[in-house]
Amino acid sequence: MEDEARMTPEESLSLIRQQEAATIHRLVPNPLFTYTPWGVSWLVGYGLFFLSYGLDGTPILPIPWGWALAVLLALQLLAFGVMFYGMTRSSLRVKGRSARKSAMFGMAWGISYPTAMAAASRFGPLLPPAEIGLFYTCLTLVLVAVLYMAGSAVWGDQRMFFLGAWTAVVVSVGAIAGPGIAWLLFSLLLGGAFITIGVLGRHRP
Amino acid sequence: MTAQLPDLDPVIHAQARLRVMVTLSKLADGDHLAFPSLKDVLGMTAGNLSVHLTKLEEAGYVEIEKTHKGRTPVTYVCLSRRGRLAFEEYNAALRALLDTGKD
Repeated sequence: MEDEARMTPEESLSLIRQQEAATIHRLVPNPLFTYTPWGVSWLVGYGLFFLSYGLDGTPILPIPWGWALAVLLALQLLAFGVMFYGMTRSSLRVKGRSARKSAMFGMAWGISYPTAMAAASRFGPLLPPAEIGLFYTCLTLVLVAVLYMAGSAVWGDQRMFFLGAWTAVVVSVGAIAGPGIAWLLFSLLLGGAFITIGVLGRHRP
Repeated sequence: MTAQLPDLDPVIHAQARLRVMVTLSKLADGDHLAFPSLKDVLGMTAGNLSVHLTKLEEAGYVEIEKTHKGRTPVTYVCLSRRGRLAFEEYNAALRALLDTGKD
């Protein structure tokens, strides 16, 4: 079964590079599927929040708040679907340390979100109506920021750390600025960052 | 150039086995790749891949673990510590040969 003619060192090097690229494409999900759909959902969803609320509570366009919320939730559901597709469509079956890390990281999202929602549903109704939406949003985006930064420590992925830290900064500014400006910042700066990072990283090394 | 090739580990320096070694070297330490996935990413037949894996296993470069998922047998493959070292040495030898060729 020796099917090979002798390779020159150049041919070996070229084969190594080709195979490395082919393997990385199968091991690492494409950021175009994992980051960009979330960016689109935030760009559009929080963009509609901004148009519906305006800068100071005066709507820029007559978009009902519930309608904007429905669009955001639908797009986030779609983003989750696309991310799941991107993570599984070409993935290799690997068992061992990485699989355990991924499972624990997935569970960290699955556990922390209901926890945050439980806390928010207790304290949210005590707030003035105009602040409730921003309270829920800041809480969920803080989880995104923290889990992305933690995820970067798990996988040594600097891009994840940047997105987490950037989310933390934008949420801090938005929370201080209040609704209106916050929706505009979340739409443009968070949506824009996730879209850009996904598009720039789509070819992978 | 061909006269210098014996310096390259003959177990690794064959297209199919080199591709197997590259693929397994990209796994994180402590990870194992399922045989069907390896076959899939390499585009090789199961028979052909098995022959090459046996050669690599005989050299002590890969570890093959046969297990069961329910009643289905599943085989997992990974580079051994010795295999990782041999692959690093192969890469170093390759670089040295290419550098010599440039002079």
